[in-house]
Amino acid sequence: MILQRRTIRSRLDRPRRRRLLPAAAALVIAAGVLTLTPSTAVAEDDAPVTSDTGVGELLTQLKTGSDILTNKDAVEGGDGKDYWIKNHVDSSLLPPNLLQQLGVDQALIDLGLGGRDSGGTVEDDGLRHEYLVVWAGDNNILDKSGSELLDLPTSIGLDLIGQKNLIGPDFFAVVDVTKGAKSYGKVVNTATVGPLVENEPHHMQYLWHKGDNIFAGGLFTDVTYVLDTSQLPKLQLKGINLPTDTLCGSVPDAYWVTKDHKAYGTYMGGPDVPGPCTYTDGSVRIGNGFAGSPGELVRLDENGKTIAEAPAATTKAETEQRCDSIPLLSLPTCANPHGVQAREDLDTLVTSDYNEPRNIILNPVQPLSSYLRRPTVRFWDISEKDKPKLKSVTFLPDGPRKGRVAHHEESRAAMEVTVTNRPGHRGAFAETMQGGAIYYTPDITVDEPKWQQVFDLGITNKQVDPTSDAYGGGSNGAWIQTSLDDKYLYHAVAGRGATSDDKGSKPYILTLDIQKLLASGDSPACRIDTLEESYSGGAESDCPAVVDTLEAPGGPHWGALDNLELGSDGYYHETTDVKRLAYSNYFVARTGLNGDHRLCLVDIEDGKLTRDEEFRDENTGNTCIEFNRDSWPHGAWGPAKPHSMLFVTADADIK
Amino acid sequence: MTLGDDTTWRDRILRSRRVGVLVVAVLLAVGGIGYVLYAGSSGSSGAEADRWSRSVAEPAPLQVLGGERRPGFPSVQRIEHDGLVFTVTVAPALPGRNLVRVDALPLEGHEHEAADEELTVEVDGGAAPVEPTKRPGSDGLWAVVDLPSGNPTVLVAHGPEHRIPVMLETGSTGSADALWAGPDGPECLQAATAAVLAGGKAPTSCPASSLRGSDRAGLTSIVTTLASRGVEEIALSADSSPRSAAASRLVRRLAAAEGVRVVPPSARPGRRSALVVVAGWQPAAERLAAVAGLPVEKQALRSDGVWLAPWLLSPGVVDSTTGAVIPLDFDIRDEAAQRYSQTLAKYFPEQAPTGSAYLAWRRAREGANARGESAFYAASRAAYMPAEPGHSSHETTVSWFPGGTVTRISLPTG
Repeated sequence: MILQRRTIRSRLDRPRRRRLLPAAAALVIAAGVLTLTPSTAVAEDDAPVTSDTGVGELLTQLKTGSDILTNKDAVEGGDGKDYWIKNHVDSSLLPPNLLQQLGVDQALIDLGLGGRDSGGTVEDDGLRHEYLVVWAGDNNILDKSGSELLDLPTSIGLDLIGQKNLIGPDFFAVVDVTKGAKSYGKVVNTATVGPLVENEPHHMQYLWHKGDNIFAGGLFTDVTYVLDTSQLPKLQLKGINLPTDTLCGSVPDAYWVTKDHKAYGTYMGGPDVPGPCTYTDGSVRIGNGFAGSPGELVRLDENGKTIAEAPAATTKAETEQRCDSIPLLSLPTCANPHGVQAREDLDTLVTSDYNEPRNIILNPVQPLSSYLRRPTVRFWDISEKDKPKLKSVTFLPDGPRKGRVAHHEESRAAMEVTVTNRPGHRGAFAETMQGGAIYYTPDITVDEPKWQQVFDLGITNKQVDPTSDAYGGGSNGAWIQTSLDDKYLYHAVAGRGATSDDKGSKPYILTLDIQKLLASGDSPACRIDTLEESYSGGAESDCPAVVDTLEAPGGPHWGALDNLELGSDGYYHETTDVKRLAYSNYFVARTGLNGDHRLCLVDIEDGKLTRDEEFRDENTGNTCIEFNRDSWPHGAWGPAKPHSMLFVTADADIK
Repeated sequence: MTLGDDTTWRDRILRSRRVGVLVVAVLLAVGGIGYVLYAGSSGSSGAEADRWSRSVAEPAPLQVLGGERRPGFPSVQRIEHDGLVFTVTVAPALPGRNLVRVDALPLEGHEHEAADEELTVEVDGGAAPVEPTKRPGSDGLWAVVDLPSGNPTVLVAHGPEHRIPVMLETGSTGSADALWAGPDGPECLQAATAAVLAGGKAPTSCPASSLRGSDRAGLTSIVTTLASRGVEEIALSADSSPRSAAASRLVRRLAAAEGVRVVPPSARPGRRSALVVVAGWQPAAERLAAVAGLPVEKQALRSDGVWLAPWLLSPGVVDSTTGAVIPLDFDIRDEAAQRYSQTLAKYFPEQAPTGSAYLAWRRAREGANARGESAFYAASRAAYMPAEPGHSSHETTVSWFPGGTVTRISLPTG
């Protein structure tokens, strides 16, 4: 079958296919059945922005023999302008059943190109496919450090900075993660977004559920993209939320999608314009401007339209611990919400405050204040989902370890929170990126939840590498997630770089057993309150127990659980018995904490972690998918920065 | 869309060819001239023959832009020497006080770095060498020299042993505008270079010599917006350039019409106060950095933040404060702005893009009346991670705002 298909395909040499493109395009208009158009390649994505004919030639080469099917659609933003997404589906990786699903097959048949050469070279596998959708940024010259830019050319020639370094489009990579599929581990589509570049792609929601759109944020553009995944591997743009749609907040970080398919988004930075900002409920807070303080919580409809902007700051000064801003605010606040998770059944949403975004890097000047790293977690009443209301502001307590710098104290930089999931549990965890600690509160529904430190990364840093510096401060922990059955807690730790007087700490993925802690109900005994416990673990019997650590070279920052399971009926179903997770090695290049841009899969068995060795890069053959590659379905744009990912299927494939 | 029928693409290529041909032609022309490398210590003034050694082993400085050296045209010359690449820009290349920009970067594979204090600039046969220095608000190293008419040579010395000659044509008529040698000089030079890089003529005046219509519109939108937001007081930071003086008058007139009082920046901020900066790059950067460098509790508490005049989109200025609002009629993410910044990165990887230079580039390519959609932008630091020990510099030399972002935050302002 494959041989036959290839034989017929050979008659469709590339020039012939290109000649047919106008006809294909006409078919789109006339019949409306073709959802994807055989590609004339990357002309709209090549964008650039270059002064060299060399790049043009390169792109011409790319066009030769393209197997890439493109489809572009746009939505109108609040400013009246069009914002688009453009799919670049690699038809050479898709079996006919998937091409049929996309409507390509019939279109090609109508063009006289049907039969076995219906666009694919892959044998029909009869599988329903599961994908990882990865939100990735173009890596370009703006991500280079000064020292990398000192390679002056010896002459003025073509393409001195190179296509790889040009500013290219950010994109969603669609990676096939269907066990047993021929295209396992391959990038079957890249959906570029535009016209905005340099979004600094950041987070999507934590888990995807059937019927949900994807909400994806761009830190630097202050934009939220909303994507329809129902026709995967194709993505559609459903909406875009622009800075002018969230005037009281900026720098969107993370999202939590509720059962009604609407979402909450944390906007970490302050109002777009310094001064007073009026929120949806009519209240007013004074902010110090874009990427400053205070941030906000935004309620978005299923297409990303703003329903409500809710203030994260109270009307009183937050003074339990120091909350600096630059410039200072008349009412000090630590309100820069980053992580967000919710328990709809408990009408409670939790957000953690990380940093005042714009004032962290003061390089080469030392930070004016270590107290820009926030030690706070906020609790919200979401009993009226479209009117989220701040209920309480809680401070993580300082721990027994003395930070080498003030922002290494345990409570500093509360990047992420994760809630427990089972009806009998009401607790939540918080972790601190610079503090290197994990906290727990047993009941998020009480008026003033109390936090206690239950883990210190100093406990596992030494286990991962006995030669490393065990000190937990600055270990750069990030993604933290309870298993959906509440047995385990997963945590990505990027590690601390070595210096002349610090051996640093290794990167790893950590699994903790939290069953005893949760079983302790409203009165957990575990407390890291001695220095010994910071390095050896809590003395109390209900403290989290280390189940496993998986070394993760390259610096994992983010992860996602695979909550989808292929049932005996051939369809996917959601599960709480998670068997694998994905993680990626990228934070934010311009902070100096970058990562090696790899995406990995990990199999899970009773909390034990095993990297999936079959999930290999299609170009290098190495374990994990490398986003530092020369070429993508959308062109030779070079390395990309994968920040976050979600396990998703097409709507028809999940019940 | 195909390559062949895409007029935008064709235009793009034609435009790029224009720049490429210009540059390559110059290289070919100048490459045959031969080489003169000046070496040795400054020595005694009378022993010229002892001061110079002559060699044919290395290339001469290459005129990077413009095709030829001529009076009133910024001369950009580049040479590799001693493991370093020197790029020397002299403008306006007219008799009188001229501005010299020196960039010295190590060649790939070379460890050698040019220590700023080892560099000196002088005019052959002229006054004593001067040390090029940094200027607040701009990147690069800068020196001012007095050029005679005719064919002067500027000597850039790298330590006592190495001298690089930069030969110029200043002509016999005309004289350099005083703005070139003053605090607005770097903006003048970068705008002129950008215009030439775009294949246009060298501007005959500096941006700071007058208040352009687009600047006027931007300042008007600032004042009316602040007034509409309830701001009661504008602290106005200006300087003595013709542009700043005109801007200051405009802001005062508009503020008076809106019932907003104008006070000096040193005044204690009132209840609703914004700082509006209409000075040039250097004083703007100096004053903003002076405030940003204070302990946080000693910084002025202005409820409505910092607002910058449109010409202040320069990394050296916007990075002098933690965040500011600026009216622009272009978006740094626009394709045209990207083309400028990336072309700059290609030919001048040591220079950061700036708003004034981009507008000069745009005028050269699209005509003097080129306008974009005006809106407010937030220029803000946006990367967030402590500068941990061991982390390399976060800065790039090609970004509009290294470590930050310039993001549109408003609908069109008219």
